[in-house]
Amino acid sequence: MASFSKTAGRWFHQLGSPKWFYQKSVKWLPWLWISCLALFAFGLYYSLWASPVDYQQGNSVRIMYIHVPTAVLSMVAYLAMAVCAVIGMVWKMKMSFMAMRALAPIGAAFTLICLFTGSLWGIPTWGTWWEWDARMTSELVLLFLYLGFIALHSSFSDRTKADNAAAILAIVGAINIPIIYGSVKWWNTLHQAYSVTKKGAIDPQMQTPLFIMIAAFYVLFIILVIIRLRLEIMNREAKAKWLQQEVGLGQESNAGANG
Amino acid sequence: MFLTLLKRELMLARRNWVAVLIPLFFFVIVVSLFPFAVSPEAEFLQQIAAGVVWVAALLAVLLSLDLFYRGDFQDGSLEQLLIMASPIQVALSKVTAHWLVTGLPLVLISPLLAGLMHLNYAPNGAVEMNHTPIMMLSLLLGTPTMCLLGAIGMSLSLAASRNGMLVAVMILPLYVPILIFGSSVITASLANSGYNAQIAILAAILLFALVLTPYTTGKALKVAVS
Amino acid sequence: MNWQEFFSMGDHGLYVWWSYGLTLLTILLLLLLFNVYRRKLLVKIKMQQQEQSLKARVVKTENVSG
Repeated sequence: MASFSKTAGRWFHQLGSPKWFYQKSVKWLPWLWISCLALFAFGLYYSLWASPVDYQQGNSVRIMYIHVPTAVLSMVAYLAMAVCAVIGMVWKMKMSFMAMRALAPIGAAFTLICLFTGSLWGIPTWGTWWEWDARMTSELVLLFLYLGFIALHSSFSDRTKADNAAAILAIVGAINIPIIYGSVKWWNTLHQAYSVTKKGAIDPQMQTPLFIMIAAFYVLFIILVIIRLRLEIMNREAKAKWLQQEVGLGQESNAGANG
Repeated sequence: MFLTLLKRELMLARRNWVAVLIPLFFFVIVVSLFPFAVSPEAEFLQQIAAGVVWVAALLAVLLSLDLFYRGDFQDGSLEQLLIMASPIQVALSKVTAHWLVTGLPLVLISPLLAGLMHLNYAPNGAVEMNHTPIMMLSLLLGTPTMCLLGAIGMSLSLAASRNGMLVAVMILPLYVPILIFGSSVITASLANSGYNAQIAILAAILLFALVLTPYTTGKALKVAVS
Repeated sequence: MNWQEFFSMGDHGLYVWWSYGLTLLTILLLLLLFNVYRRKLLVKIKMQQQEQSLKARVVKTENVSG
């Protein structure tokens, strides 16, 4: 038990160090890309070719294999942002705030993908590209939350203030998401008459491809977050010697110091 | 301490009483634009009255936030206040003053708007029902929540920019639940169906916000002056 | 399923292919933006580094003359 907590503590400590992360993550990226592409190869084969056609929705059901994973990830990303915000505020861990900032644009992009795939799915199934369906409406509100977060964070000139203020907003947003979702769902049942068809339950034969696609998007998401987090480290540690060496500017400075 | 702070806020508001009245004018003007934009027919206006009044109230509350936070932040008195009292007390006093000065007057003036929007209209021969008290009740429960949530957004953006749009972009999505339940109270009353559940939920959201947001606003104010 | 069906996707080809295409486009755009940002950051880091080495040199010459 003691050794476990020791390992956990070391991990926590290492993850908290921008230098450690920057140096290690380069080595992770190729493996992640390989597994990502492999998963997408399988996933796309199943979702576009080998999976059955829905008897009601026809081939348009294939949009689900993008729509559902991105919907899941758009919420996971916001939750992760809020967790990073809490860790950053409680333990004053700078890596945590960097991760929070890195997650925002990627979460917003996934929310956007979820929205337009939902719209494109809606044309053949609902007969319209926008329906005030509970899930779609919640995704729209989620996109607004992401944009508010990014707008707030980028309108500060002082980075510490920006981090702390945006962290508070992320936490407030995360507490609000279930309330927003619940109320939108209630509101939607009130106006049930408007929704024409529902997106049905999942056929077991579609489950496997869906799970593969969720896994593939998850890995893609992690890759994107790592890339963005590395950029955030570059931005914030621009003055650090180790980073200057890391991006290939080190020798010059040594020569300058020696000569 | 809280009462002293509240008195100070109210005194400042009284000194600046013209600025305090602007949100009220705004509320009335925005609502009275709708008949021009859509149609002056009573039947039609009655249908959209709930939504129009609620959205106008949301915007009026948001736009009046600046008055209670910006001045104190710029002349440094916010920093003094935070040294003097706990952040929660400062936040609560500001929210209370904001509500007393803009939220409550909005509720009190809303019967006028109910009249303008023909909320109580009944077709010839039907019995006229009075929906105005229900609308006032929904606003009475909704406006404090608007003030509480708006305070978070305002304090967060204090040190960032003077752009009022930023607060709107951050906070309006959070207003979705109260907008849904608040306007549905009025719609349900118009449809002669029960609205107790919606009233209860509005009250629950208010209590929830009352417990959590003063702490959050206090934190945000501290970040702003740090 | 044959190739013809694969491209037409029933009569839903338009929606399916637009969905997959736009998703790919969004992710590529995200990567492109990251790359643009990266280049900007490299310039910033280079400027920082030059500033620092300049300062180091100034300190050194001051020490020598002093």
